[in-house]
Amino acid sequence: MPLIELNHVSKIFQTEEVETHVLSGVDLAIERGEYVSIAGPSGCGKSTLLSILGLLDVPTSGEYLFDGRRLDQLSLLELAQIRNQKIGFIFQSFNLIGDLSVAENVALPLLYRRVATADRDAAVAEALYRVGMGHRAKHYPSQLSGGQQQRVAVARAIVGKPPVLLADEPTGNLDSKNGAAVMALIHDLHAGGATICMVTHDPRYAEHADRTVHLFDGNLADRDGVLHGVGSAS
Amino acid sequence: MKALLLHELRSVLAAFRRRPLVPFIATSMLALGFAANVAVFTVISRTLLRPLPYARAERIVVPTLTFIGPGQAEDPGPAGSVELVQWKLRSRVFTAIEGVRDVYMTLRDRGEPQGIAGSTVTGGIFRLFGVRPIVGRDFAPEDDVPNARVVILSHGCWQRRFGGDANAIGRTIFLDGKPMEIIGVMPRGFEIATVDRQPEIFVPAGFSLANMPTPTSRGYHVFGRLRDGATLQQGRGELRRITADLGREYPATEQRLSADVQDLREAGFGKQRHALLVLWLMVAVVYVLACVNVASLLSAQIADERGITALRLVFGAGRWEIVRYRLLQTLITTLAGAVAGYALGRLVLRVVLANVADPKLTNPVEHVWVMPLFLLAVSLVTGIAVGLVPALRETRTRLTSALSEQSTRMSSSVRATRLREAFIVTEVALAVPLLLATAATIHQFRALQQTPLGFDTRNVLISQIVVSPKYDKVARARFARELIRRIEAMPGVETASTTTCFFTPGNTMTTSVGSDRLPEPMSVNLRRITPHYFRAMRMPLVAGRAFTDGDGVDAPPVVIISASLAKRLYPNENALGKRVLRAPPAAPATIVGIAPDVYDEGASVELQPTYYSPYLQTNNIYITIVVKTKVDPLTLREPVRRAVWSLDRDVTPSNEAALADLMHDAIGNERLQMQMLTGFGLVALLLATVGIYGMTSYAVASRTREIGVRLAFGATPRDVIREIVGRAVRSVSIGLLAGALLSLVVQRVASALIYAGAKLEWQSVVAIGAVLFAAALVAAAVPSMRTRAVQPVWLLREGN
Ligand SMILES: Nc1ncnc2c1ncn2[C@@H]1O[C@H](COP(=O)(O)OP(=O)(O)OP(=O)(O)O)[C@@H](O)[C@H]1O
Ligand SMILES: [Mg+2]
Repeated sequence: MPLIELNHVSKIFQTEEVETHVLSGVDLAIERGEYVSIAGPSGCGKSTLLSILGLLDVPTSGEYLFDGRRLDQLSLLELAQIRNQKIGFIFQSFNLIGDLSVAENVALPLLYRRVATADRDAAVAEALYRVGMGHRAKHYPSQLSGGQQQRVAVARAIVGKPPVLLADEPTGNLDSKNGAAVMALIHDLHAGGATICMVTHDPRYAEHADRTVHLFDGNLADRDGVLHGVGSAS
Repeated sequence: MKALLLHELRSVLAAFRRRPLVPFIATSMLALGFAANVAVFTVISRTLLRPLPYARAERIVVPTLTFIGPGQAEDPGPAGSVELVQWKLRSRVFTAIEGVRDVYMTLRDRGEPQGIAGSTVTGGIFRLFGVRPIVGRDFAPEDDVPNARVVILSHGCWQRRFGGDANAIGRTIFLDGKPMEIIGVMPRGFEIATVDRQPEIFVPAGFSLANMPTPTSRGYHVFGRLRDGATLQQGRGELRRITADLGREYPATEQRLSADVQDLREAGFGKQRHALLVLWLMVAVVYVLACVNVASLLSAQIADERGITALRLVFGAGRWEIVRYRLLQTLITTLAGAVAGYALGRLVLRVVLANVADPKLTNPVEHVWVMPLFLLAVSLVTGIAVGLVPALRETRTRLTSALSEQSTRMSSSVRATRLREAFIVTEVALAVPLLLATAATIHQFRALQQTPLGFDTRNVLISQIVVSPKYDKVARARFARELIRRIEAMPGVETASTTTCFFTPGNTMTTSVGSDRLPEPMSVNLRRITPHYFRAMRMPLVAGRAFTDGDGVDAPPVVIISASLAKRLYPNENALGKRVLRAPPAAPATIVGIAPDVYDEGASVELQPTYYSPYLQTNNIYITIVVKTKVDPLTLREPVRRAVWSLDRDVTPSNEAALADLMHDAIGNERLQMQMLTGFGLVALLLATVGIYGMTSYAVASRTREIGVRLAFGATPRDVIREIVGRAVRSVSIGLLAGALLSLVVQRVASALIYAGAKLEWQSVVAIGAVLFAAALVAAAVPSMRTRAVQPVWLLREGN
């Protein structure tokens, strides 16, 4: 049974009498431990797909099964628990909390997991160290460069060693050295058994993935650009 | 330059039109603050700052007579004819000393006789004030003789009763049945500063050393004009010396007396000053609260527009232009608030003063332009104060961070959060002392209102008469007995009596008494009553008997004393049957009864030891008729008048009222103060609540994205609500704590001013805390509930 399974998932945004069909009948299955990269032109719906996968949004129609459970059958509390314990998220636009320090931002997932303070501090320190931001723990996000903010966002996503990592262009603002470091982190997480789903435009980083899916006009295509109505297994 | 300013003005107004809610709320809050100030400053300007209508008023002072009681300090009181004449005669420090005494008179001109508030004055009184009649002439020395035959009218009396007719001069009228000639009219606005009820008519007192009225007849409001270069202290010292000399020369009547001299303003408005300063303090805080609200709204707006401002700066706007834009914005708001507040304040004042009889309060003395100019100045200062700081800070916006917050969608910054919390803390901290003071005042008033007076106010008609001075003591006693007999015979009357109590605060007759155990005389309230008084008032005697018709002029002198007086005169003994020593020449009297202690001047006047004497034995010309009725007491007003007239056409009942109404009015000042305080307290509560609500919901709104992030990382909706509400609760708690500390400090510093003996009750503290908490909780909870209803991604997108 795949960990993530989308069946005919569509997403339509209704704005001022204009309907934007972002996803139309997407079928996608991601196995436990798989490393999938998502590519596609700007505005094609990559981030939208990722928010649905991350339980931050619901499809307009279609079915989403996470770990075999139908999304619409889960309570708010269960959703929160899954997000907290199973999923790590790296947003395209970082989304750091401005009045929390770097360390507090990173500690957030552990906070909601009710991890003891000492363990939490240790995990936060390690995550920050691994993104090369250990010396900035007490800073506030507005005092950081764009790339630094992105690294903090990465640290926040991996700090709880989530079984699923959803990353939306995690290297978008980084130079090649730091980009590589972040990719190494994600790789380690994957090596530890995590399932990775990453949006990236960079073919070098896409290489790390087991497979790449392409989004065009709200539908998935495989590597060769052939349209697939039904999600492709590798 | 000018075009740019105009352009900016237009864009500010356009922004107001686009988002009218914020400027509307800001203007309304300022209007409330301004209105409270307009109301209170008008009252202050008409009292404390009132220009006194006298020539060189700063040289005029108010001498009073003080009574040196045994171990107790007595309030200064009016002087008697003896002191007045002797001070006048012996003083060197004063160029003039004159006196005024209120008298009820019956005026008969052409129609029915009417009761009139009159006064007997020493002849030089108007010269002392430096005011001359506008029509006719002043009193001449030869007018100020016993049985004077001339009078001067107040302007109001002239207008109302004589139609403002200049031919009134020279006309003869009848005062208490005696013919008198009108010789002059005082100018409009002339008033006697220390007198509550301004006299309508002035009659020369006509006494001198050679011709002195009853020595103990005190009741003169005395005024003195200090010689140039002389100080108030010198005046006080001199009058004290003279009064001490009098004590040696006239030991029978002038012992144990001393003198005090007060500043005219102090004497006139000293009592009101305390209440007015409290009100002033309250409205000042109310205004500051309104300003804090406006400042917080503005800073919220500036925070909202941070990115836009940064962009404007990037594209070449100068700092001064940014500042000017904000200043225009706040100035327009504060000016609009001032205009609305002025209108509202006038309205409030009209409503509040509608049932205030004091002409000082209702007659404007301030110049029409004073208040608008004052408001203009305050609103300009406020606009600049409130607008400048945030505007300057705005220009120092770190462009990169503002832009990066915009582009990378960071939720609110540390500084913005701190500022919002600081506003909430300030609101609460300022509101708490104000609300506590209000609660304390309400509490105090409630206690006053619920004080058991000691008698039954229901179905009692009160009416005042002045028995014609042509009657002697025996005739007056006969008049009173016959009057009561006739009234008691009327249908609807249960019983009737007379007393010499006026049932109004601060208007009482006193005397001094001693006993075999207390040789030092003490000052007590004096009530001369006819036999049925205690029955009419439903005052059950503690011991002994009431007076009877047998306690007449020829019978042995008897008295009834109040329980507290009994305790003072004969501690630890039964006072019944013992003697009361009275000021000579009166012989000692036997105590035949002990009466309960009562608040017969209203609950606001402290309980005084009281001495009841049979009217039939020792009487005077002032009589208050007390009628216990079986019907609505006011329906008996006309019948009682007819009963009086059936005995004497020249005696006119006046000030008829139900006793219950008099007791209600007796705490009128306290009620008015309580009402105003409550009004301002409510405004303060409203402002604080709106401020807390606004800031909290704004804080939540600007944390929308943060909430989305938290949800994304696994916060449950309950976690989110707890977090948001927790912050609001923390801010309000800090505010409450700060407010409580501030209250303590204020109480320490100005306890007399604010709490005036009222105790702060923990219930009020809890109630106030609950209201403010509720505002914060609702403001925080309502928007955070929304997190349950929408997908987290929306929150992430929506926030700015
Ligand atoms: N809340 C929304 N309301 C309306 N339209 C939306 C909303 N969110 C996304 N869209 C639209 O959906 C489309 C896909 O957006 P999305 O952010 O998923 O694109 P993307 O593939 O991540 O693009 P990029 O590579 O530029 O990040 C866009 O056309 C966008 O305008
Ligand atoms: Mg995207």
